[in-house]
Amino acid sequence: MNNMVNNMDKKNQKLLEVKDLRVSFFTPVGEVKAVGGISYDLNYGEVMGIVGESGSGKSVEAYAIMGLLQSPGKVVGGSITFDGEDVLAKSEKEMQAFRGNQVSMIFQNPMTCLNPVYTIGDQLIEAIRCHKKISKAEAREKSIEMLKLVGINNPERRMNQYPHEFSGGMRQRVMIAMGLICDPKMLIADEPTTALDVTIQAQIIELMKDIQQKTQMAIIFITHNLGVVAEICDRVTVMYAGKIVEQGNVEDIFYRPHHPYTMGLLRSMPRLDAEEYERLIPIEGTPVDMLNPPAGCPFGPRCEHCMKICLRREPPQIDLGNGHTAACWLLVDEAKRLAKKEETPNE
Amino acid sequence: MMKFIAKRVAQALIVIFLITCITFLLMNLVPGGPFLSEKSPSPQVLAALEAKYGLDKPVPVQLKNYIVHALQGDFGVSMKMQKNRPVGTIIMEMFPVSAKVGIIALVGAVLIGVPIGCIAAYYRGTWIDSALRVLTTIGVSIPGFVVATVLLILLGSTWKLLPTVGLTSWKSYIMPCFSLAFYPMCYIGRLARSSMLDVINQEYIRTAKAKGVPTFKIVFKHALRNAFIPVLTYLGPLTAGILTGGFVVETVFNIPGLGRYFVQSILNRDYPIIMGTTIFLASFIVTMTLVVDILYKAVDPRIDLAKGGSR
Ligand SMILES: Nc1ncnc2c1ncn2[C@@H]1O[C@H](COP(=O)(O)OP(=O)(O)OP(=O)(O)O)[C@@H](O)[C@H]1O
Ligand code: SF4
Ligand SMILES: [Mg+2]
Repeated sequence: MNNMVNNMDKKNQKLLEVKDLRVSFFTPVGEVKAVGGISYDLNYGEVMGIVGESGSGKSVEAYAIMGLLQSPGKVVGGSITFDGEDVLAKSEKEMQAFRGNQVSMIFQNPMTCLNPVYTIGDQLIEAIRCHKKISKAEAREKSIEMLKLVGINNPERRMNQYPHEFSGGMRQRVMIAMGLICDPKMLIADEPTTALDVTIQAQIIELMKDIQQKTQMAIIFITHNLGVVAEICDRVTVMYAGKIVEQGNVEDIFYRPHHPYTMGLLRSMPRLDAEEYERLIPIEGTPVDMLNPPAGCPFGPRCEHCMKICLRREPPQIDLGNGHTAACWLLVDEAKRLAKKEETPNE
Repeated sequence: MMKFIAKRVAQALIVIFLITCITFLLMNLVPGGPFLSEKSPSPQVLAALEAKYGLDKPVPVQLKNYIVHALQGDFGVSMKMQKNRPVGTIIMEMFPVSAKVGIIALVGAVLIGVPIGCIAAYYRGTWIDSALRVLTTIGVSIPGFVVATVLLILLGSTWKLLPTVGLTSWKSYIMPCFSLAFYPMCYIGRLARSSMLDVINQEYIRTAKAKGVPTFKIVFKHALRNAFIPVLTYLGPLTAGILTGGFVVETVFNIPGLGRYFVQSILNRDYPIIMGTTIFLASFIVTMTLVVDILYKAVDPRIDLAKGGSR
């Protein structure tokens, strides 16, 4: 883990900077603005959770960083800076050197993410040899070491087996090993536990936490599951309809949420400290139709606090201090109180 | 693996036995006989001939005798076309000619069909894709004998570019092989295209990209091997198709192969040749199907042969 020292050194320095990123899908029925201008930073060694319901643009945003967007998807604006380099300006060749080496990604469904006709060993060795000029034997050694690290017994024998000989949890471990094998500075985990059953989920989260502590690698953890976020993330970004609605430390988001959508998410989630009789309250209404998003606040049609202005103008991001921001008109007065210089909308 | 092969061989023997019985009975149901051509011999000569070849006995007895002899490796002698030469010898003489044409057609169909499919998939939605689609649609909709006849008329007789009869030089292989290969080539092209498009959208391809694997390696290592699996399933039926296609093509181009000979033996009611060829071709197809199933296992490790072969 030669990066580890590096990651420690640079703690609190900016690793990833996403600025006003916009991604659209140009479909026959119109432009789908899957990501509509999001901005955030991620420091070395930091673990950030991205939460939001299905279709909010979490995966699309991650694919944009990896340069994995499929046509008709396209980055239509903004910038992505990783470790001082402009990711969007890279050529396809440069992206090949970047993916898997600087940033790795693991996916939701481990059952279909490994190539069924090649052995695990073959696929691990390939992942190293794409980026490092080392012999097959050395690559094999390193692969076995990684399999051990992710808790796979009998790695020498497992190397020669095919994906169908592994269980879902084991395959996700293999995916993690594959993601970490080139010692990347950042890992993007797109719902890595959603497809697994609960006990396996817990094991995988434990493993990722463990590895993060060992390597001090930055992680973007995409999930529906706020419980998982509380467990391993330092910071949380809440997305809704391709926009960031709230962002902040885990404590701020969990104990001092300011956006009605975040509050709704928290209410809809089972909590350990909840009283027996406390009901889980699902968020009313249906997710936004991304082809015809509402004017104003995207959450407006479902928001219990919706005001007139919400339906006409998009709320600004309000700084609540300590890196906590939320985009909601309700906060404008509070923001004035907090910052005393936020412009009041002329209602 | 050995158990699988043993089971399949046993199944094959049953299939061949049934084919033998059915062919034998059908053959005897068809009016006419080997010695009943235009200049029919006198009744006495006919009776003597029939007695010599055992045709005077009831059909079930004939069948029993045939099977008993066949089990001892004796498939009888030709009654008419090459009088009194053993059927086995005749088949072994004719088959290599058919096999040569057939193998060229089969290999050609795969080697051209798969790239056609890949190119069409790669350029999907462009004019290249459309052009290939037109070609392959034509290919799968016109029968082989039409292709053979059109080629024969245009290249053979109108423009006199290629020899029309027999197998004298490499040039004479072009038309028969192409006639045989055209349909399977187009079929494989379509199969490979849809299979490639399917594979390219699979999640393991995305994983490979996320690892930073270069594009050509993604296509030729990760995608092609998976995309080839459906093509492989088609190889069994394809072999059978090329064999039966050979009956027509060899007749059209007058090639001295087993296919043409088989057709003639039926017209001539040369019973032992009909039976011998049928059993031979059936065994050949059954063997090829088994070989294809074993090939599967080599390409797709998920296949458990013991559990019945294909997925
Ligand atoms: N290939 C595509 N064509 C058109 N629109 C697309 C395509 N892929 C994604 N989108 C749009 O992008 C939006 C965001 O999708 P994305 O997959 O990022 O959601 P997500 O937040 O990851 O959801 P989930 O939790 O279900 O994974 C979707 O609402 C969809 O409208
Ligand atoms: S801006 Fe208005 S509609 Fe949007 S979340 Fe805030 S109160 Fe609700
Ligand atoms: Mg997703």
